[in-house]
This record gives sequence, structure tokens and C-alpha cells, in this order.
Amino acid sequence: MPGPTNGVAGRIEVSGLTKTFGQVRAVNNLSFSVEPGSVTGFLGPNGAGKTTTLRMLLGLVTPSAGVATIGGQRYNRLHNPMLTVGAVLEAASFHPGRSGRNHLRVYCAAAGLPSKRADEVLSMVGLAEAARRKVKGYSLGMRQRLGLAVAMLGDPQVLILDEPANGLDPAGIQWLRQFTQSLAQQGRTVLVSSHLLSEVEQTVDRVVILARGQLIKQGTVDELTAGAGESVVVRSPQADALGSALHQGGAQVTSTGPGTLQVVGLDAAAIGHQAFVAGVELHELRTVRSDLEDIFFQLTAEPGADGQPPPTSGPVPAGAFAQQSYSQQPYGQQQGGVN
Amino acid sequence: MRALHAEFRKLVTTRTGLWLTIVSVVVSVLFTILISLNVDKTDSASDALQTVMSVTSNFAYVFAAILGIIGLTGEYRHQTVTPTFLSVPVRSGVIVAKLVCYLLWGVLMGVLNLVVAVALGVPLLKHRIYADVSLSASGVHSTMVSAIVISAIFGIIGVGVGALVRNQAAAIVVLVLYLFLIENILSAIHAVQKVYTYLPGALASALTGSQGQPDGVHLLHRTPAALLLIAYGLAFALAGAVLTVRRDVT
Repeated sequence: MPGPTNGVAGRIEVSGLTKTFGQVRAVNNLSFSVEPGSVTGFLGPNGAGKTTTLRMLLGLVTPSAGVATIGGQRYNRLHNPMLTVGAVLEAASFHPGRSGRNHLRVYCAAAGLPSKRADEVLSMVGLAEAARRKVKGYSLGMRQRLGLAVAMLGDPQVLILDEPANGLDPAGIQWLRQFTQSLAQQGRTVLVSSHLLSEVEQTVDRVVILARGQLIKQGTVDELTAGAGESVVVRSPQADALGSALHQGGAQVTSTGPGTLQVVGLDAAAIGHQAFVAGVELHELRTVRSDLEDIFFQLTAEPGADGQPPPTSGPVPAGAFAQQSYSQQPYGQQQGGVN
Repeated sequence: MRALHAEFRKLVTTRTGLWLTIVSVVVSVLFTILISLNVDKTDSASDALQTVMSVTSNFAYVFAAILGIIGLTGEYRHQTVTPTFLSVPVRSGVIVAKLVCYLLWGVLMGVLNLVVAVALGVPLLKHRIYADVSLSASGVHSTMVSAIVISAIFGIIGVGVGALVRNQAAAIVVLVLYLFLIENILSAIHAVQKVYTYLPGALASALTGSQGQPDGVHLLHRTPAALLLIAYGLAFALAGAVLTVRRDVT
């Protein structure tokens, strides 16, 4: 039975994908799509099922259920897949005794491309100088560039990178960022997985967030940040008095440590005013914006840990922020004890 | 064809294939000299030459098999199996390309080692005892063809063993222990000598007409031995291909 053939070129579509390894369900009924012309972050903590999903998408792992297509075709059905999809899944997929150029020439042969294409991609990733050296003499960053060069051989419409920033220095991450963004601007589909949102935060336009094998959220980065809340941290020797005053003023108040309050629902000026009216001394008054990393942490946290509710795919409740701060409380106490 | 081209490039762009071939030739040179100088004078000229050829063939096929193992297991060892299957997602195509590639390299190794046997063995035997030693003597041609066929088939068996075991060192150790130890032990145990004659190493010996089997061992005739050895090659190739196609690459 032929798969759907009316797919959009370069569109990745994952539908009901499930993979069970023995007793472990690594990916559970996962559905999402990735659009051309954007860089999409595929995010989740280690062990969330990102790599398994990508490997199913690329025909390396057979799904227990569901289907994943690229441009409406399953990867294994693509006639010459390197001309459609480029993928880098491991930091080092090289024979150490083969030169970078010969490594590329192997895959030129596999894709029926002329060998001069190897030299072109070597220049593209800045490895022209090292082309004839054996890969065992390459630095980690050079190896990653060589992996990327293999992926770019067929000038693919779709680029899939699994944890590409692992082990890169800041200059390498900067280079990778510009590289992927320029590819997306050319209308290509770029899917980049990472366990650290901060790594890809400035690169991605859209995110697909995964935890425990399930989809937690997909959408644009703006949609994600829209759920972020603002809160105010207040420190006062009369925290209890201030807390009840603020509570009466309609704010949500949480005690996050000795003499420290986390206030949601009033801005810093209003809190300062309340304190002044109540005659309470303030030691600190600080506005904190919940950033993407906090949201990511919230969304992907293990259920049950710290008594947190299981994450939902709805907007992040602003109040949830306090819990994150709570987890830092022992640290604050410890510091106090040392001083 | 693209997959075959890629496999061939893999083979010639590292030094492994070259070195193993050189080592097999060097070992053949040493043993050709050793055997030629120590052949029992009661043997006929053609028997003496066949003995030299069967010894060089032994090294050719063991190294052809090791190269086949390295060719397949190296993909897992260096994780190149991922880009390999990404570039050719029809995995049976990759396996067929590898089988063809290592079969051809096996032929090359068989030929090179025969060249050693002929170029060194013939003048040495002539010089020592047999003025009449000749390549056209009865049985010599069959031995030469057999040596090449055996080496080609063991190239395939190596790929198959590699696909079954995947761990490079383990696969090579298993192969070498099996050929040099286990088959020899079996050949010496009277109760299982019959079984031994149907095993790959014994079939190779039957094909090259090698001497020096333990008492009581009656090797198969050439044609059934050739057919059975080819069947082994196909069985290993098929088992390796089926496993490789079905296994997840994680």
C-alpha cells in the first residue's frame, strides 16, 4: 500500500508514532509536524525519546506503531534520500583512518554524486584545509562539521540534527546557529534536537517539546513565552506581616525562604506602596521574569518529583513559577547557615 | 550499483584491506619456502605442488574472511552504519554490495597467494627434487581454481559472520578459533570425524586436495565439497542480511 503522496515538500509529519523496547515505551503515540522555512527545536530532557523518534523518522528504527513521513514519503521509500534529507545523528560516525575527503567521497558514491561535491561541502563547512588529513586527527568541532558536510552533500531540502551543539565551543555554536538559520531562510526545513533549551533558544523559531516519550507542547517560541509569568521577590524582616497585607491586596503570596516572599499579581511599585502603608521594612524588591528555561523545566519535569503536578500541554500557570524557586530553597538556607 | 561503488571506496580508502592482503602474501611466501624445502620426497611432483598451493590458499581464505568481518563490523564499531543506511536505506542492498565487494577481494587474495605459490614453489621444488614439476600436471588446475573459489566464498562468510556477531574483535576471535582449533579437534575425535568432513574448513581442504588429514578422515570429493561450501557462503550471507535488515540501528 503506497503511503500518502500528496505531502508538502520538506514537511515532516509524525503521526501516532510509538516505540517499545522490551518493557520500556520509549515513544508513546507521538504526533507533530515540522514546517519548511523554519528552524524547529526538538526539545526534551535526556531519555525523553528524541533520538528514538529521529531514528524512526529516518528509517533506522522500526516503529511499533504509527508512521513518520518527510514530504509525504517514508524515508525508506525515498529513491535517493540524501538528495532530500540530510541528517547528523552521532558526534562521530567516521573511520578514524579515513580522510575527511574520502569519507565524503564514500557517500558521494552512495548517492551517485560527483566527487567534486565532496570538495564543495568541505569548503562550505570550513574544512577545506583539513580535507586530506585522517579523521583521527580532527578536533571534536571539526568532526561535527564533517558530519554536517555529509548531511549537506545532496543539497537536501530537509536537515535533521541530533544534539548538534554537544561539545561545541561558543564559536562553534555561533557558527552552527548562523548556518542553520541561513538554511531555513532558503526555505529548507531544519529540525534540531537538544536537551538544553538555552542552547537553541536563539536559533529556533518553533519548538516541539517531548517528555517521557510524549508530546508536551508544540508551537512557536512566542507562544511558549506568552505563558510565562512575572513575579516579584520581596525580602523583609517582617515577612509575615507583609505577606498578609499583600494577600489582602489581592496578590498570590508564597513564602520561599526565611523572610523571603514570592508575589504574583502585583507589580513592584504596588508592593512597595503596600509595604510603605503597612510600615514594613524592605530589604529587597525585585521583579523576576520567568524565562524559557523555567518554562521548559516546568513542562518536562518528572511528575511526582517535589510534589509537582504532571505537566499539561496548556499554558503555564504563572503560579507554577513559585515551585521552581522553592526547589532552590535548601540552597538559600545552606548559605544562610554558612554565613 | 551506487551501493557497490560506495563499498569499494570504503575498502580502498583505509589501509586495512591493503595491509591484510600484504600480510597474507608475506605469510604465504614464508610458508611456500618452508613447505617446498620440506616436502616428503616420496610424494609425486603434482602432490607436492598441490600441498604448497593448499597452504597458501589457507592463508588467503582466512585473511579474506577476516577482511569481510572487518568490512561489516567496522560499520558498527565506528558508527558509520548510520550514514551508510541513511544513504542507502534499502539495507539488503548494502549487504549485497558488501558481499560482492568482499567476494571480489577474496578472488584477488586467492589469486595473489597462488601467484606466490607458483612463482616461488615451482622453482624451489624443481631445484630440489622434481625436475618434472609442472602447472599442467593432473589436479593442479583444479587446485588453483578451488583456491580462488574458496577465498571468494570465505570473503562472503566473513561478511555473514560479521553481521551475526557485530563485535569486531569477538567475530575475528570466533572465526580464527573455529578454523584453527575447533575443526582440528573435531577432526581428531573419531566419533565426529564424519561431521567434521562437512564443515567449511574441511571442505576447503577437500577442494585444494591438501594432505596431512588425521587417520580415518575421508574428505568429500571436489564437486560435493564445492557445492556444500557455496551453500555455506549463501547461508551466512542470507542470515547476515536478514538480521541486518530486521535489527534496529540505535
